[in-house]
Amino acid sequence: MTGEPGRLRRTIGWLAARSLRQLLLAVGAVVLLASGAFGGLRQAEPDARDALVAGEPHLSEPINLTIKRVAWSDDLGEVIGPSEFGRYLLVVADVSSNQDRSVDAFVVKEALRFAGLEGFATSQLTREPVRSEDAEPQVIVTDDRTRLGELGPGLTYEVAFIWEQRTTEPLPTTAELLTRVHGFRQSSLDDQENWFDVADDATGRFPVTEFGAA
Amino acid sequence: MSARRVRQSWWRRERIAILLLPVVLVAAIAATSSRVDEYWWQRGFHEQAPRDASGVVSIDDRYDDGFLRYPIRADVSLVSAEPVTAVPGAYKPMRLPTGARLWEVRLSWSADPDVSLTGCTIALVDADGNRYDIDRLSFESGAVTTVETCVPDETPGPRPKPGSTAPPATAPGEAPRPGSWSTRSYLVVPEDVEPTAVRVWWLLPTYAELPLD
Amino acid sequence: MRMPRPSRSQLGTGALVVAALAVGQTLNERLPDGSDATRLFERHVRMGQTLEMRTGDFTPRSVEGATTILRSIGSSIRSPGVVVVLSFDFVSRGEPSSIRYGELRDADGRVTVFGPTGDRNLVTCGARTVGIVVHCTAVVEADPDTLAGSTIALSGDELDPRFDDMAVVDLQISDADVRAWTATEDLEVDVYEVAGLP
Repeated sequence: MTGEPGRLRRTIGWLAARSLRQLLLAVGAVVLLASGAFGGLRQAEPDARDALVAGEPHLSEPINLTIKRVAWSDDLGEVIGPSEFGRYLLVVADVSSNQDRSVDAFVVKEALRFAGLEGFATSQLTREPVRSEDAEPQVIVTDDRTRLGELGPGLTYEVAFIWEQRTTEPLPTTAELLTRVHGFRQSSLDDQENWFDVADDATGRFPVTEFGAA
Repeated sequence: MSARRVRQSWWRRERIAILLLPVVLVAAIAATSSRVDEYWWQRGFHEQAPRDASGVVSIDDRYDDGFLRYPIRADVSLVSAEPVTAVPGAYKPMRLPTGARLWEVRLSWSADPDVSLTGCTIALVDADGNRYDIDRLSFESGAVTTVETCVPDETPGPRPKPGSTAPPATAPGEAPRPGSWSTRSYLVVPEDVEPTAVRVWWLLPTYAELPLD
Repeated sequence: MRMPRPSRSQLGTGALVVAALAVGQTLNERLPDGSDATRLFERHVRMGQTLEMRTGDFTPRSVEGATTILRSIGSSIRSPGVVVVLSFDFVSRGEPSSIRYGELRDADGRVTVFGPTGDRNLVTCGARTVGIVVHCTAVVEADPDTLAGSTIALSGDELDPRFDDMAVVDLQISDADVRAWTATEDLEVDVYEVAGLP
């Protein structure tokens, strides 16, 4: 029983015997260590999403995208024919790359998505409808109706990104588009270098008109 | 102690280890040589099927992709291999690439009707080791050509279904393959080449070699 | 505190360890690293000259260009730049082989990589009979501003061109050629042909 008050008195005595500098350093160390738990003392601003504007180029590295129009159709004629799902949603855009080495077609396909829509077709065999962010489009060059291959340096193509959507979903009159950036690195699987690690970049809302209507 | 006596005694002391050293070296190299098997042995013509005195080769191969496994077993012998100027049943003249001849290879087969034998390749090889694989798109025969290479077109027998792990099965309504049959194949070979053997294979490294005599 | 003096055998072992580390370090520095060891064997070849590659004999024949091409096999295309068409002959050696990997390297060192599949840029040179000539093409779109002085490099394996021979063709394209090509339309292209069998 006499041990506890004794210990406390000894601790206070020990602390009082420290110099001011030692006490301040100790407090500083404790604050720094504690701040790690909530991410640091400095105020962090949340990243603002860049805005996509029709007709203005936006770089989501490595793809430069200029959104021209957003449209819907239920039959694209000789290009792809009628949609199994019932509806096509398209984005007509100019694409180019800012790179000195050609960029593979899959990077272009991953660079653009509709945001927040449902009932989209995937390229997988099951054809189960997915969210628009998970659906891969076909990318067709509008001039000659061919599928876009690799994007060579210094070349700009007008293309149509084409998705399919179930007609059970309401036809959107406006839609939000989302562009995505890639990072260039070595694959951990086969050591080949390419554009990986898709991340959301810019968004914009656009009116959706009927394709082919004047 | 003299230096000479010290040297002698070390060799004598270590003689067993020294004798074992080359054995261990070979074993260590063999144990680390899986790449030699994977990237060289398995990808070339390295396991020739046995051929008996009458010239019949017994092929004993297997398909195994980790999901589907089935045996590939057949006996094959060479009936004839010679250059021809026309294909039987031709309704228009034959067309060959510049500087080429057409060789006809006839083989005699026997196998269990339940064994899948589709998907083989045939080639002619010459003394320099060049290989002339069968290639139906390299010439216009002017006749109706067969689709299958090692089995009859009308009764090819069991075949695996692409993408399925179900064992190979005969198509419904198709008669079973006979226990023995013969095939005739046409191969494009440069004019000045004299082939020395016919080669047949499904999956490397196993193959059958039938010398032309 | 006195340090214990090392014995002669301890010194000897220490010296051997240091020597082994030094040798290892030197070897590491001198031997080629991963990317160097797998480098391609670039072999330069002029138009009309035959290059003996590992898998066959390669002979570039001619180069043409236009803004739109009409292909004998596959899609016809209209390009925002210029479509370059390199015609070449290939003869397999030993076993059937083909050319399935291509690179257009422009005057600024920019590179377009293309292969045997797709609707637009294509190298078409299928594996055929050993010893039989096949007429092949490499079709690739280019930026006209940097096209003069470009080369096209071609090799066998589309997935992994390392370790192997790569033929580098000096296309000898002049500024006048580029100007002429940007004014040309509807160039007809015979994509692929076995010699004697059109």
